[in-house]
Amino acid sequence: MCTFEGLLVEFQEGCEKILPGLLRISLNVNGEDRVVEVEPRDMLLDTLRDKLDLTGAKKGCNEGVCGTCTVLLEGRAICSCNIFAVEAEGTKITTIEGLSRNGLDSIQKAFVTLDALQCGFCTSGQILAVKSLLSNTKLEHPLDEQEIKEALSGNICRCGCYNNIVSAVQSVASQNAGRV
Amino acid sequence: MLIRNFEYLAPHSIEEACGFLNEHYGEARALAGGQSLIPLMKLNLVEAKYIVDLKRISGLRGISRINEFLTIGALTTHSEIAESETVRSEVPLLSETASRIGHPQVRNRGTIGGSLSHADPAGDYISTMLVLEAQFVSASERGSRRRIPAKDFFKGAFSTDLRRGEILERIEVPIPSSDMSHSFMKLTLGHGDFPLLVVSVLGRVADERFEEVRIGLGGVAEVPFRSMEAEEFLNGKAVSEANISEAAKIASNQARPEGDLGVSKEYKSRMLDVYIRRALGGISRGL
Repeated sequence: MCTFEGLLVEFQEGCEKILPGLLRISLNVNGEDRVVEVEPRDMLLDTLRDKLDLTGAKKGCNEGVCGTCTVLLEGRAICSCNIFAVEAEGTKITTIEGLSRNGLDSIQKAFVTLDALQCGFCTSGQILAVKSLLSNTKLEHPLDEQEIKEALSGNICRCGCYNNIVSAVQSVASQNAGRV
Repeated sequence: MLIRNFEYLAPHSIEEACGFLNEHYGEARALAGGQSLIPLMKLNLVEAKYIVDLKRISGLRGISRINEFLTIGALTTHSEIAESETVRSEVPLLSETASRIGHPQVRNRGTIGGSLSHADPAGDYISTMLVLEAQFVSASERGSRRRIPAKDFFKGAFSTDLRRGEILERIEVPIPSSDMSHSFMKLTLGHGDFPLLVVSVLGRVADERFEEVRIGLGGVAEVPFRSMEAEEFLNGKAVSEANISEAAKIASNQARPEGDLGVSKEYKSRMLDVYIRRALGGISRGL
């Protein structure tokens, strides 16, 4: 807990303002609590990559357009370049590294099997966007191509692997059909 | 670009937040989902000495139906609105508007209150709020509340009626009668890009005549507006290509589009006419 000009900034226990402009915060990343020192202006993306050594999220456009920095915040896809690390204090973050802790996730397997990538730069973002789609949608019917394209519209693939990406998502979605 | 460093504040109550924003007026900025504010800070178009994060204030998020109104907390995300069964069944125009903002990553983070307070003249929600005749409720330090009709809330490009030390607390949307149809159309350069123009239409066709039609236009003037003249012309008239074209002409003539994002004002003007006709065609079913 730290105070500033009489105004309370309540964080979890163990978090504090060390200096003006420097905060010690705790982030729950891939199921682990990680303590990290950040400036308020530090983006979650830079914090993950530079301070927590999680380089799966990539920096592409750095303005919330390309989707390569996609991570899950409370299970939902967001652009980690468009959120300050301090905003994520006390929330659950999942990066691509967290998806394969017990072997590859079914989405990752489908991407490999159906050759849904070429250079791979956008892939972690694509996979997490799919994860967000599948875990937040009631799959009462097979996902059609349009729904998949809409869900992945925030993830640009400059190699142009879209056809195979859509096939991979359809393949995973059909395995998961009926599961809510 | 490196963002100038700032102090981060995360108050737990509206009174604290508004008190600080009032005291540090001009130096402090309220942060909601950050999907507009953070990109602007990265471009150094907005500088702030203090960022007041509103997300740790409880009670600012959620959707509830109270009598004939939907009440939406300012920090409700676009995804929450788009996925809400209540919004889909009671105010389908709002549901469609929210579901088509940006892309999923933006919708999962961006909030309705943030978007409305940002007041981008081509913002997705504004024309929809105008035709729904929504009411905005602002809160201030002393705990007082002020109710502002949507038509009085937007004062100019990126400028609202919110006063020093006020934040938007909730939006109250009157539930339209169930026989009302809607159209929501927007022109973007690519899927998920910023809108160039937005057309929101709410209305009804009975006995082959237009009734209670409301036409809201965004992105084609400094402030989004309703074309009362076109509405007045159309209501009571028969559903026909000629009447739709005339209404579109009247509404388009009131617009003052400026060229932006690489398109000319002539293009926007022309497309506005097309989009209004399509939107009116949409509510008159299959014309």
